Amino acid sequence: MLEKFNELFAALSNQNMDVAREIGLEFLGMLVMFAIGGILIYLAIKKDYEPALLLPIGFGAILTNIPMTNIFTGPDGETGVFGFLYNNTIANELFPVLIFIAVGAMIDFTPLFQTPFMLFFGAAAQFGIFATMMVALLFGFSLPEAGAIGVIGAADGPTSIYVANAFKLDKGLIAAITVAAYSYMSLVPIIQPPVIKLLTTSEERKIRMNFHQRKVSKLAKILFPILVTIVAGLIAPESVALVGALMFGNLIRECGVLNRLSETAQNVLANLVTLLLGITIGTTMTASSFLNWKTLVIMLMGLVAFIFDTAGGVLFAKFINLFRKEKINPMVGAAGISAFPMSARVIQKMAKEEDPMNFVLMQSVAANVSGQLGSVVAGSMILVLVGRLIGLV
Amino acid sequence: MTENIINGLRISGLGLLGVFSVLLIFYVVVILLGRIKAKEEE
Repeated sequence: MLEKFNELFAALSNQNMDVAREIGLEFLGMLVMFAIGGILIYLAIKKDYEPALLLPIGFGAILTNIPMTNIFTGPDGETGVFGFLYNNTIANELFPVLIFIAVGAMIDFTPLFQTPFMLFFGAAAQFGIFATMMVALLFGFSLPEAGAIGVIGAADGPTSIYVANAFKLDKGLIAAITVAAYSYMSLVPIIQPPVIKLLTTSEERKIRMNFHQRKVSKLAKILFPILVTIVAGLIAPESVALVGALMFGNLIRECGVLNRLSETAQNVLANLVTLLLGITIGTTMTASSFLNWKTLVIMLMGLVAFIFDTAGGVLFAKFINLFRKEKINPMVGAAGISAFPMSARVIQKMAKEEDPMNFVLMQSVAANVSGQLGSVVAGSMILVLVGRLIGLV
Repeated sequence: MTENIINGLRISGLGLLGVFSVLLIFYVVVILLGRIKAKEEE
């Protein structure tokens, strides 16, 4: 740090304004990234916005912008400790896959078996991914960049990281996409209600839905993850790593004979990988790679993605209602977003505000759970379709 | 850029169709598996 100050004073003394400006901008960039890291930490602690990710990311951003630490890459190109972590856990897609095992172990597909029709809202609410991709293209992003930005709408951090990495995007963009994905997931209670109210009437929000509680057989819950993996793998082999990891986690939960592994996946594995993932992503947020117009636009695109996701689910529900005698509460469509279980709770809260006796939680949870499936499938579609176009797969 | 937009529209169309198609298959799987009777002790 002292050397940099000496360089700056030397440049100023010799009236070498170009060098002085460059060093000055470096310092400014460092301070801005300290502020961004601080904001993420503040949001994590004070506002409880996805603290498990935003705090490590924020701290990593501060760490990596302290000059001459070499924690990511040294001056001669040698790999620092966090560069080693990045290359061996994120660049090779290991961490997203491990997190998906943990996520799969946390999911209970019972509500989906009880209201299977909710699966289609898990599809409709992925509309935001493709709409956002189009908006990103209009902003001048390349096809793989736009595809990866669109996947923010999957409301699913691991899928966003997985696709962005597969497209070999710049680290700064991957970091921006990751921060956007996790930040907006925590803002679902703020983003969804206004969009839902704009697209629905009070009468529509008061629609009551019947729920038929029935037992789901253990055999069905064991066969489901196996069959889903086979089906997804046959249709899109490139998706098997993600879908397979998710379903493997679910299988160890449902089989009933691996409770220790299931608990380990849900707790130790999830926490350990989340901790290391966050700080490693944070250390990629150098001023030079993060502070550019693309990052700012990506942050805005995250909002666009979640708005279009919500709109897609709600409008699909309204469309379906044209053909159904037993109407669906269109708010439930918005729960098809993959932000589980937050979105389901938001929808139930909104339903109760309209009608205190209206309970749509089970249907919302079913849609929310199907959103987990839908988001992985949609991310895989982007991976396959964009990947084939650019010659990656 | 026009080529990118056209590719984007094609990918969006195919992508949404693909997502709905795959989830339709999962819907059939869920319906069929849902017919397996749950045992009383489960």
